[in-house]
Amino acid sequence: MTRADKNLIISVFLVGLVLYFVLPLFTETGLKKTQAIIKQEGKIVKTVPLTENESSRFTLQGKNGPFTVETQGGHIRILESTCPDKFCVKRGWISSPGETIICVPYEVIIFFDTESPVDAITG
Amino acid sequence: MLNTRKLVFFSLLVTLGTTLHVFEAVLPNPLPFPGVKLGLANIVTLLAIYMYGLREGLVVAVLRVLLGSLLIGTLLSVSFMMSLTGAVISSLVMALLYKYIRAFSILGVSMAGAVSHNVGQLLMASYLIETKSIFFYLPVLIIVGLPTGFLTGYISRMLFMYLQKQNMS
Repeated sequence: MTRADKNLIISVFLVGLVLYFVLPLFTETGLKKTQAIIKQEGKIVKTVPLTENESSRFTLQGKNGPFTVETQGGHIRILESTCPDKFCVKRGWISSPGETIICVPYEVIIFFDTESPVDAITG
Repeated sequence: MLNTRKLVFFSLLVTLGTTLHVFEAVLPNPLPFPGVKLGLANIVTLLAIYMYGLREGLVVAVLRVLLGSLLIGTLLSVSFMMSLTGAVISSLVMALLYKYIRAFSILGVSMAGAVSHNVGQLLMASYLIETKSIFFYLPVLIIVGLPTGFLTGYISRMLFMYLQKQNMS
């Protein structure tokens, strides 16, 4: 092994190490949320685009009564609901892909539409 | 100059490369990272470059990817495109280092080849799948290229020395 070889090993290793810490700063997490989807009784009743500086508030009709949804700065929550237990209201804000708000009595689900990352592909 | 001796040896290299390509596709991957392979077929490319030159190395690399994926059944798939890109880029890098920057031993050349193979196939994957999130994976592939490249380089060196002793090259 020559000196150039050793230098190669060290520099490649360093580049890899630096990239390991730097890359996550540029690319966000594998999942990217694009919009929130509100499903009621299995059907999509509304999709809400989630932009950082936009907020909205609207009321939808659940299975047994109305509920109000609020969005703000990429977060979404159920503000008010007439359902009995109000678990959905207590759930509070959600903002990350994978998080959901579920209201069982009204059969409402709110989740994020995500740009899915790549599945494993081997070369 | 294509004499019979070279033709025979060249064909043997392609055959060996194809075999290794197929053999490696069957090997299970012990690591939790997909796409990490030993790159055994790289031995043959490296040998072709050391014995003949860049052009022969490239031809061996491309032919073994073509024939190998034809046998596995991945011809023209994403993984085929990734293998092809990786093989071509690593051949170029290895030939360049061997011919023009003579500071590296066969071990260094092999490691550079393995790393560039991994980077090349990742570039192709991100182009084909149209996602940048795959670059998360770049550091792992870069670092993993070092030990696998070392191993194939070591085997190549033994082979090369043996062949020279036998006066084959």
